[in-house]
Amino acid sequence: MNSTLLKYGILIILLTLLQVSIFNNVDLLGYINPYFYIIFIFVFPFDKNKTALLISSFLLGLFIDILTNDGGIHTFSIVFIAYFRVFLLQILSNKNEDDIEQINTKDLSFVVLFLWISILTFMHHFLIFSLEQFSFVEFSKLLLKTFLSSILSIVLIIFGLQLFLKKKSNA
Amino acid sequence: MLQLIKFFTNNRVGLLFLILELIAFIFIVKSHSFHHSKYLNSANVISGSIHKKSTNIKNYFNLKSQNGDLVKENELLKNKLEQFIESTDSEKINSNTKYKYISSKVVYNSYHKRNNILTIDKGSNDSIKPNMGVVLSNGIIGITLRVSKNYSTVLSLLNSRTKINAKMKNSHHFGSLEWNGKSFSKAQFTDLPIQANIKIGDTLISGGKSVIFPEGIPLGVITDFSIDKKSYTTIDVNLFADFSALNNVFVVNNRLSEEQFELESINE
Repeated sequence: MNSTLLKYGILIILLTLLQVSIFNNVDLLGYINPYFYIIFIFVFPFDKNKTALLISSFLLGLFIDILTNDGGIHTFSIVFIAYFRVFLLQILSNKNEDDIEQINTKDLSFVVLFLWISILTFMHHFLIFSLEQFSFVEFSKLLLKTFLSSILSIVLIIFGLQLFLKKKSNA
Repeated sequence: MLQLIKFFTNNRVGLLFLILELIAFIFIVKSHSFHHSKYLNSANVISGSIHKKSTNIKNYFNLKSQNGDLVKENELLKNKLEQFIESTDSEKINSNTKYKYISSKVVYNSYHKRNNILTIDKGSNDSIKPNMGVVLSNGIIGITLRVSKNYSTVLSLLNSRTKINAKMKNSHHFGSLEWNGKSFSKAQFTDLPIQANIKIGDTLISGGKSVIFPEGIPLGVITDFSIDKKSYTTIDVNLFADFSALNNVFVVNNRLSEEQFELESINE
């Protein structure tokens, strides 16, 4: 238990530093940045209890918010997708809640994995950008921004996930 | 009541979810009110030093262009000094100048959001207080928001809450400079009376009506405007300052600002 705690504690800090120092400075076309840190939601194991996931993603969002002066928008958005990740996977893979606990991210088919990551990422980014504007005045611009940033994030997350899972199976 | 307790004990994860989201939402609302964003901001020692470290690394890569900028600024200042010496009588030189500049470095920059807030590496130890101007020699960057001992956050010009008093360089008509969130190199000039004859290429400078900023800082040139029923609708201004590459900035301390604020509050 303690080693898991340490492992995910380090992961939170590492993802925070990566996001703030590297991914926030990508600025593709001047304003497109990937939010890579939500890979945390996809690598967190299913057999651990949900309370731990909610609290640790709350902390991760909080760290990012403090470092980027964003109030609480990252916290809000990541807790939101942390809560809905299991529901969504149930729908996508046609399994009940108990089956999901046995599941390993490696065993998911690529289509399910891709849809699961894409939908959650899109939800997260949409929340981020709409909370940032605090209004829906320029809705089309909001959608475009969400869409472009999501694509970048999804590609990076899938790539990162391959690395993470490979390393895990070797160990 | 018993049922309510039962519901929550059966659904602890859902309850925790709602509580965490509520906390996050309170943070968001707090951050939107001007003087209460004291909970989550990077004007604290830990995040300030993290940003400083990563900025230090980044700075190595653009030393050359920074040097160029500094040389240019030196040249400008030398010319100004020359003019100053030529034009002033000895009685005019006054050691009690109204504005004092404190040089500072931007350790966290942000320009791609709708509401941008920066962090600089000077704080109350260098006599910085909230509501001071942050400028470059060729533009206004923003206004200090929260101050800790060694760091401060700055409400950027690229923020929906920022409105800066500006005027035409040649006609002295006033208006205010705002940002519509589209491009970080373009701001919008509003509230300009129709009597002001503007044309593309006119220069905009900071107005003297502000307590926070000194008068006459060049801001940008007008690149585009449209007129609708005898009033200007939108005037686009190309900013001189490059918000994507901020490094050395100056915080302006107006020694007489408190006096002016006090006087104006009596009048109200």
